[in-house]
Parts: sequence; structure tokens; C-alpha cells
Amino acid sequence: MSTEWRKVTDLFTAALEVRPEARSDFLADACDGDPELLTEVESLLRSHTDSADFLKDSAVMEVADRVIADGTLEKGSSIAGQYEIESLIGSGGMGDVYLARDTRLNRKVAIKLLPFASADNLDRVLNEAQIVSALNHPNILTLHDIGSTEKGERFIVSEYIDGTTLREKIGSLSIDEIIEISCQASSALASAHSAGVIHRDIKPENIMIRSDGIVKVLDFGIAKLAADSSDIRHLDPHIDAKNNNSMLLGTVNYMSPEQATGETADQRTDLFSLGVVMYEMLAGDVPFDGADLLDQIATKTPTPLSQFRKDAPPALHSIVERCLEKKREDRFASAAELTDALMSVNTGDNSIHSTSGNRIANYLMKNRKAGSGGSVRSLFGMRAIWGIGAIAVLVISLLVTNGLSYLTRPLAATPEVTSPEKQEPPPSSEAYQSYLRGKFLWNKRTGDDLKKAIAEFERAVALDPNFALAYVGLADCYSMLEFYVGMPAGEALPKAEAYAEKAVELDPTLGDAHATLGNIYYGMWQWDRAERELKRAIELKPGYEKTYQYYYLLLRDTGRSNEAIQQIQKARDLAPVSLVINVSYSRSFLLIKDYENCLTATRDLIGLYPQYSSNYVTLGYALLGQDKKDEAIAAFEKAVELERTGQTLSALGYASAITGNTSKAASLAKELEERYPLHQALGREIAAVYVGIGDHENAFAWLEKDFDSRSTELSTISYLPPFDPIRETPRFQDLLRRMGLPARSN
Amino acid sequence: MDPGASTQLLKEWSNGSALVLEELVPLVYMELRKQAARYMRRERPGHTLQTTALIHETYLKLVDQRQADWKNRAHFFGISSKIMRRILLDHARSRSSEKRGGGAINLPLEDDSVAAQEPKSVDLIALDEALDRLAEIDEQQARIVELKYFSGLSLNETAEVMKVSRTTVANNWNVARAWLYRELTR
Repeated sequence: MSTEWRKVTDLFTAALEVRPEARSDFLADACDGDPELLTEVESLLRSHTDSADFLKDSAVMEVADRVIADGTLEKGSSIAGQYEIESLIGSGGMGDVYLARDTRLNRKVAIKLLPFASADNLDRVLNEAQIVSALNHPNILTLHDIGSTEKGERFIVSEYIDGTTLREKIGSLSIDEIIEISCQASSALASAHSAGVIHRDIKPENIMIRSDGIVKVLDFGIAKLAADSSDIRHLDPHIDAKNNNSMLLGTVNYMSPEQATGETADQRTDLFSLGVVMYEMLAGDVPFDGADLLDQIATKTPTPLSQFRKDAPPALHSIVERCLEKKREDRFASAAELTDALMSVNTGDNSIHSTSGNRIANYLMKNRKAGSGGSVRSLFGMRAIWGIGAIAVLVISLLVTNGLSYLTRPLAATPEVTSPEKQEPPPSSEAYQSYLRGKFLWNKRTGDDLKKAIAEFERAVALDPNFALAYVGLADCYSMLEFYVGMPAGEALPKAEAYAEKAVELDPTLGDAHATLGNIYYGMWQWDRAERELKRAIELKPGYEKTYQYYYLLLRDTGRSNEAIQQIQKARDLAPVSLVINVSYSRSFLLIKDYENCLTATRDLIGLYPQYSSNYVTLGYALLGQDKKDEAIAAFEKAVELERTGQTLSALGYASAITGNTSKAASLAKELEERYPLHQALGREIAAVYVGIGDHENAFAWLEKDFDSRSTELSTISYLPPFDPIRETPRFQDLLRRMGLPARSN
Repeated sequence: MDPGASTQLLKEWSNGSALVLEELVPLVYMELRKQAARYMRRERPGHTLQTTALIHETYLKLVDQRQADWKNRAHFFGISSKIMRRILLDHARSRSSEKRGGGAINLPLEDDSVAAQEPKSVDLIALDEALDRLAEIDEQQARIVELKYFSGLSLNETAEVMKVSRTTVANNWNVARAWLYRELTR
């Protein structure tokens, strides 16, 4: 700085302190003999007077607008013709997240754009994300859609969460809230792990807390994209060149020792990261931080939690410390184990022991007071409910991965966890616990468990005779007894019907009850009554995807193919990644002999669920339709290889027969016949093989067996491809007529 | 982003490594964007951003708190002011090339004596050039303008960051503002 300018500044400052009317005298005096200085200061003083607001407001707001606008989609712009952008709600290493409106289904959604992900990884990762979402776990963010923008940028559409991230809550959480959040997050992990997906990036930013207290874990499977896309450069012109790749992106504080040392992650990796999150919730600070972070993670024992939170029960401290063990063998073996441990922490906040049962009771009480739409935080007490749900989900997803066929059974849809939002809390928490256990057992889908589930639901209604949902549970159990226990449908379904009717009587507005009842009538071949109930269910609960799926089954078997296709598409719109619904969807193309679309849909689904045998059965039928016999046989063989069920054996037997391999067909028919008394094959599955062999006599004999036992889904023969050769015979038409079905042609 | 890494970069930068600035810019930029999005989500529709909060949060995110000292903080604000200035300038330039006369963005520049219906705008390109000239005359004053105007720091915060008294900041801010105004209204 020049001395000249120093003088100007000093004089200007001094002049400002002089009253305006005295300034010119003051300056004339001070600048005596220096007219240039006088002119300069006077000029600046004039500017000062004129510039009242100049630069007074900082440009930060402008900058914020600018940085947000950079590469940001404008409000109202459309993605894939279906989503209308509302605003940017987040931005991270992987891309931007927007609040948008799904204009087709008229709902709020969150859209995450993934501009940096490399395509080869992307599909695999998105598959994982879809698999996790399909678990329908209440603590896992639900994925609605995946697609590409017009520019080829991939995006993920998910439910929009009205809430905040855990990051913003840290520091203000009670012990009970901390346990609750941990429990719900752990339950989400247990479910994802059971489907073989590891999160890899658990941190407070990936855990959201809805305003009603429900925790949602985000970005399953997606986290690994971040590592693959350390290229953040494209986002912005300010980010240039050469650097970045050497930078560690992502939050390192939550990384596990195995990740820090470059080993492969497994499910216990997530437990470590969740341990760091729990530690931070309790201590207000992360356990490892500083310049030598990676070293610390690998070797440092964190400061004992007891130094931070004396109000926390020691059991909780031990749980967190066990999660933070350096060697994964020393941690909990699974998230399910961690969830159990968290559920059993006694916080001693009540005079009575605050174990899970009481927490449920407390939750129900609070929820009742708050009303269904209440915004009162009801974190407290929910973990027990989700805990049980999580186990149920875990079991079911194991069933899916092991490929146990429950698919063709209409009621055995996607795993369900009872959401307390959806229903009126019952007055008795004991009844509710029985109900939850019943749901859990029902979800396991074995004969023994179904019987136990019935006992639980019966207990629930004994304790609370007005518990409508428990009656729905009973109805659902009885409607499945034919498949799992071998109780003749003629005996089981009337009982199921009575229970569903009781539920409707107790609560005529319960959509679930009408849907279940409709599906039972479908099984009882009472087509008109079924349709009435299903229509009523749609009126009462239009967002319940199962109703549309049930309606699809009804329309399909009664020959209303085009309507059927519309309904299954509605179901799919509501639950785009549901396995059960997608299987129905892919098969719906068979109704109109659209084999090309059937193949496309089925192959997409196989991409998602490669281990699921029913998909290969669909594939085989479509290939047979195109007269690609060898490929069809290969598909059916794959199905059998994955799983020997009545369905897969029957399909392979039929295909073997029509391709001339009669001996193989005969041996498969024999195997099926042996299974029949064990309730492991249905009459129509055996009949299909005989149709292939050309032994129509035997085929009809087996169909009649199903008819005599009023077998629930015998009506599927009205469309299943193996019956094409006999469908137009008088005997077959007579069978349809006796079931109340219209005549059907090929 | 690992706070340890950016802290290290900040240190290197303060030791005079110009190359490091290039590495820091994208990191600060990303974090700014993230924080801005977060604020916008929280603050809308009132649309009132606590001006210093944005830059403070960005700082907290980027810098390892255990190693953070006043020196680091000062350096960080120094960098972020430059980055924010650059963001606005780039934007103004691109607008200016899009349409003639678009270089100005809507910043209040109201003359008390004129009951202006529409506030006059600051020509950011001209402001940027003037600020460069000011830096040649008085670097300290130019920095004060950067910190106060582009990072939204208060007089006290600016004083803390620059390690001078509040009065010094206030006096220099006044004269710098008058000088810049004159440059822009010539």
C-alpha cells in the first residue's frame, strides 16, 4: 500500500467522524498544500454518501443460489416424462437428490440422479438396491423406479421421506431414542443382510428419521458407487483437472478396520459402522477422528463411553463396544443378534421393567393418544414391533433365496411386516403381541408354523374379541392350509371365509379384510362375490397393491384377459419391484400370447431374482409359445435344478413329453404322483404331464381329483399353456362349467 | 471427504503451495453446494439464509476440528471467499455471453435520493475488475471486501480472521466500499 493511499484512508476515516457541515473546513485544514489529496478524499466522501446500500447485503445468498443452480434441474422440468422436479433437496458425492412429483401416480417422490456411475457397475448395484427394497422392510427406504433420463443419466426414484437425517439429531437424543434408532437401523441391516446385501456406508447421513419416529436406512447397495465414482469433476466447471483421484472421498470416520486396511467387507462391517454411529449418538462425537484416522480405526481402542454418558445403561455401552471390536469375529455375528441385544436393554426408565412387551404397550398408548395422523414423536417402544417384523422378513427372504415355492399361492405375497401406522391400535397389548407373533409365524409358510400362527391369532381374538386384523390373520392362515397342511380346500376355505366375514363385520371399512375375503371367494370359485369384495377393497384402500393382484387372478381365470392385464399393471405401478407381482405381470403376457413381451419381462425379472425357479417356468412357456423347444427344455431344467416342486417338475414333464422324451415324462409323472399324497404336488400338475404324453384319460382323472377336493387354484387351468391341447374338448369345457367358469378357447 | 485430508491441504496451502489451492477448490465447492442445498431445503419458502451459517458449516464439514486453529480458519475463509467470488464471476460471465447486458445480477444498489422502482444492479464483472485494482492499491482492503461481501462475515468475524481490530476493519471497509462504488459509477 502506498503512503498516499494510507493518507487518503486515514483522512477519509477521520472526516467521517466529523459532523458533515464541518467536514469541508476540517479537510481544507488537514490537506493544506495538497489539493490532490483534498479532491480524492472529497470524491470518496461523495461516493460514500451515495452508496448507502452498496455491498451491504453479502452475496452469500446469491452464491448459494448459484451453486445450487449449477447443474441443477429447474423446478417444473420433467424426468422420463413422469417425474416433475420440485426442488433440490440434497447433494452428495454420487449426485443430486430432488424432491419431485410422480405425475402418473400423483405422489411425492425423491429422485437421485447418478451421473457419475459407470454403467457396468451400475446395473449390479441397482439390482442390489432393488432386492433390498423388495424386502418391504419398514426401516428400508422403498424404491419405486429406476430409469434413464433423456440424456442417458441413470436415476433412482424412491419414497420421499418427510424428516431429517440422523446427523441433525445427534447431540439432542435421549437414551431411549438412541436405542430405538439403533434398533430400527439394525433391523433394516438384518433384513438386507439376509438378502445378501451389505450396505458398506452406514453413517448418520444415510439414516433418516421420519417425523413420526420411523427410521429409514437409505442407499443400500448404492454406497459402493461412491467409491467407483471418485470422479466428481464433471459436476462443475470449477472443479478441474488432475486431482481428486488421490483424495479419499466419503466419510472415513465410520469406516471399519477391514475397510481401512483394504480387506473385503461383510455384514459385520456394517455392524462396526453402526457401532460408530451409536457411539456418536451417545458421546456426541465419533470414536475415531484426526489426522491418523485410518491408523486409529485399525488399532485405537475408543474412549470408554462411560466417560460421556453416565445415564446410559452399561449393557448399552457393552453393545456398542462389541460392535466396535477390531476383529469381526469378536463382534455380533449378525445384525439380527445385535437387534435382539438392543431390544433386551433395560433402560430402567419405568417402575416396571422396560422390556419389549412394555414398550409395545407404551407405544400403543402413545399412538392412541396421538391419533393416527398425530405428529407426536412415538419412537419409544417401536423397536420390539420391528424386531419381530425383522425376523419374519429374514425368514421370508431366506425362503426366497432358497427358492421355496410359495409364489403360485396367491396369499403368500411379498413379505409383510405389520405397520402400526396402518391400523387402529388394539386395546390390549397382549393381544397385539400375539397378533404379531401370528403374522411372524404365518410369514414362515410351513405347515407347523401355520398351525402355531392360528393358535396365536386365536389367542389374540380371545383376548380381544374385537380385534379385526387378527381375524384377517386367521382367514389368511386357513386359506393356505390346503397347500401346507393338506386340509381339503372344501373344509379350510369355509373357515377362512367365516373369519374374514367376522373381520368385515367388526370393521366394515378394513380394506385388508375385504381383499382377503375376495381372494377366499376366488379360491372357492365364487367369482361374482369375489369381484364385489375386491372392488370394495379397492374403494377402501386404493393403494393396497395386493387387491389388484388378487383381482388379476380372478379376471385371468374368468377369461377377462385384457382387464386382467390392466389390474396387474396397477399392482405393478404400486409395487414395481415386488417379486410376486412381477411374476404375475410377466405371466400375464401369456394370456394374450404375447411371447416376446413375456420373455422381456421375465428376463428382466430373472436379472433381479436369478435364483427364483418360477421365473424359469414362465420363460419356458414363452419359449414353447415361440416353438423354441430346446431352449424351453433348458429353461425348465434350470427351474427344476433350482428347486424340485410340483410346478417345476410338472412343467419339465410336460415339455419332455411334447418333445418326444416320453420316458422322462413318465418318470416325472411318477415322481409327481408320489408327491401328491404328501401335499407336494397338485392334481393339475400331474394332469399337465399326461396331457403332454397324450394320455387324456389320466389327465382328466387327475383334474377331477382336484375338482373333488375343491382345490383352490384349479381355475388356473383355464389359461395355463399345458392344457391348450385339451382346452376345447367337451370334457374340459364341462369341467370349467362346473366351476362356474365361462367356456374358454385357445 | 476426510476432514484430515482437507486440513492437511489447508496447511500446505498456508505454507505457500499454490498447487494445493487447485485441489481445495473442488472440495470446498462440493461442500458448499451440499450445505447450500441443505439450507435451501430447510429454509424455503422464507428463503432467508443465515449468511454466515453457510460458510461456517462448510468449514466445519471440511476441517478436522481437533486440528483446527485460528490460522486454519482464517485460511479457510480466505479460500472460500475467493471461491465464492469466482462462482459469482463465472456465472455473471456466462450470463453476459448469453445475452447482452446480462452481466449484472440483481444486487441492491439503491440510491437513497432516488425512489427507484427497481434496484440498480451491481455489475459483477466490473466489480471483480475493480476489486483486482483495489488489491493493487491496498491488499488488506480487498480482502476485507472479499470476506465481508462474498463470505458474508460480520465485522467482528472479519477482524478475527484478519487478526486486526474491529475498528480497523470498519474503517477500511468504508473507504473500500466508497472507492469501489466510485469505480463502478464512473
